[in-house]
Amino acid sequence: MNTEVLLDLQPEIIIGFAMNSNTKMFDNIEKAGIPVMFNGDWLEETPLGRAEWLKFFAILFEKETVTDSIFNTIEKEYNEAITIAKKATTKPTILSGSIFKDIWNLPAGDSFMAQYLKDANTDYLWANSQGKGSLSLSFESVFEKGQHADFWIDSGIYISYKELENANKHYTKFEAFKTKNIYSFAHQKGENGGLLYYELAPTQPHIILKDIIKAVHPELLPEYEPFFLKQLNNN
Amino acid sequence: MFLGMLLLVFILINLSLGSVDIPFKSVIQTLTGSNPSKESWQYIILDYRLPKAVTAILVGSGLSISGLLMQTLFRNPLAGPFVLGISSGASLGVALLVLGVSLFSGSLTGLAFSNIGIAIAASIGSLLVLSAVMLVARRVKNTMSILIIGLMFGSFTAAIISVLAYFSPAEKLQQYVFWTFGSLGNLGWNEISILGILFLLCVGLLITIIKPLNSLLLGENYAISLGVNLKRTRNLTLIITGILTGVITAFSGPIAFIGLAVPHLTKLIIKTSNHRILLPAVAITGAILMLISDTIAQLPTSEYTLPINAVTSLFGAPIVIWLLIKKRALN
Repeated sequence: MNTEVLLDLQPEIIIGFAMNSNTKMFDNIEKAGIPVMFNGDWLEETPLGRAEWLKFFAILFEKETVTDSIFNTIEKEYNEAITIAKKATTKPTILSGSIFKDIWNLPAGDSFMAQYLKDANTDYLWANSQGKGSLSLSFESVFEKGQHADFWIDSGIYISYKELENANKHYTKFEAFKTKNIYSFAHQKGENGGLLYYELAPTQPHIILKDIIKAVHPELLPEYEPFFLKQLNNN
Repeated sequence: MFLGMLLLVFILINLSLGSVDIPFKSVIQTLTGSNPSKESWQYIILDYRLPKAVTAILVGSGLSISGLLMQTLFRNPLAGPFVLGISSGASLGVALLVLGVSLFSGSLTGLAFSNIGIAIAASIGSLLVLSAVMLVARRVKNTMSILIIGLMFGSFTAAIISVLAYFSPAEKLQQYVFWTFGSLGNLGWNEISILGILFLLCVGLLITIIKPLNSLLLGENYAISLGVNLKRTRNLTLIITGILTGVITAFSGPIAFIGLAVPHLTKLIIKTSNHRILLPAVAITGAILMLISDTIAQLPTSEYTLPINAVTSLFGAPIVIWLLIKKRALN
């Protein structure tokens, strides 16, 4: 961050982000008389908790009432989706993530993705692992465990089976690849090619949960059209 | 002979140890063509561990040969692909491709993600730095200065990479950083055959210059008086080193210390300076060391793995320190 340019812009407030108590750069800005607020949404442990940070930003723009009703809708729809998912008669096994070089990165047991998969009434194969971020595991251990998983949710940046196969031929050996049960968040792209999922997901947990339920228990949401999470293209 | 047997033993050990616990009997069954008790084991052994082992052998022996050639050419025990900045050159090539593409234009993006594109960039990078070091070497006769200049080239390229990294988006940076960790397990048979063909090509070229290399050990003037075509020998050595280091670095990342440490280890075991014996010995020792490093990196029975580069450095660093202490004895 360029402090001079920042001071020149004369903002009324700075929304900061810090990983620990070392906030030297922000201390400098505060000395210049610009208040700094820290955004801690990334510390939240549940998708709903993260969406609730809408309220934090609402206060800054004096839009509390509107935001409260927006959040209440999100919360209501999310909890309704959980109830719907509970009606499922099966509990499919789930594989997630993708390979980079020879390391398979997949969401850890306490991550958002693991929480979504739990709320969608599925059996995420790494649900019991520790940690909030991601796991970096060896290919062979993921292959041994996930080879027969029913579904593969969030397969990274690829949007077709062909692309997936070209990226790494190991992928084709998974059951979910053979039965074409791979879903990705990469279909919806913004104007500059960024994934909409990364931009919008924090404030739309109810849609993501429904997307996942639609993928793994399609009979529960017959009318629903998924927005973020879609099956890979066939060609 | 003995080294060859040892290599076979370590190939078997490498194939039988990994995150997934596969009994030795099943490994042998798979290798001899019959089906093991679990289908997934067959895939893990034949399509994951076997290519990885072959890659380890090619990488280990290729880097070690490069190291030996550098040490002979510069007549300095501390020379090696890393110290002379050649690996840094390869890194710079890759960094320019992976990180630079996003800064300058979008037309090369497809190339940046393909292994072949990375391989070409790394080879060009290492050849460029190598020729720069050679140009300097022609003027500066003191080999110690050449090594220092090589290190300076290394710092210089590292600085350019830092600047590129600073301005790059997180994804690209991650891609580059993971590349620098090194990896042996992501090559398919296609890529391994490219690596293998280039490796054989270099070995073929190498055979033609074994004799001149032996006379180089006694000094350049002596070599000339024996009728050695110095320029040709030097250029061939450089081209071989550049291609080997460049291609290996491209496919498996900048793997440290093997090139420097293995020739010395080999010379401790086999007390000769005849390249006819030394070259194959160095190649096999390099392959064995790389297989051991990879076996350790896989952290057998655990789900996690270590970056291969960390493991080779753990081996390499103590050896280099020991070398510096023993340097008097070597001279």
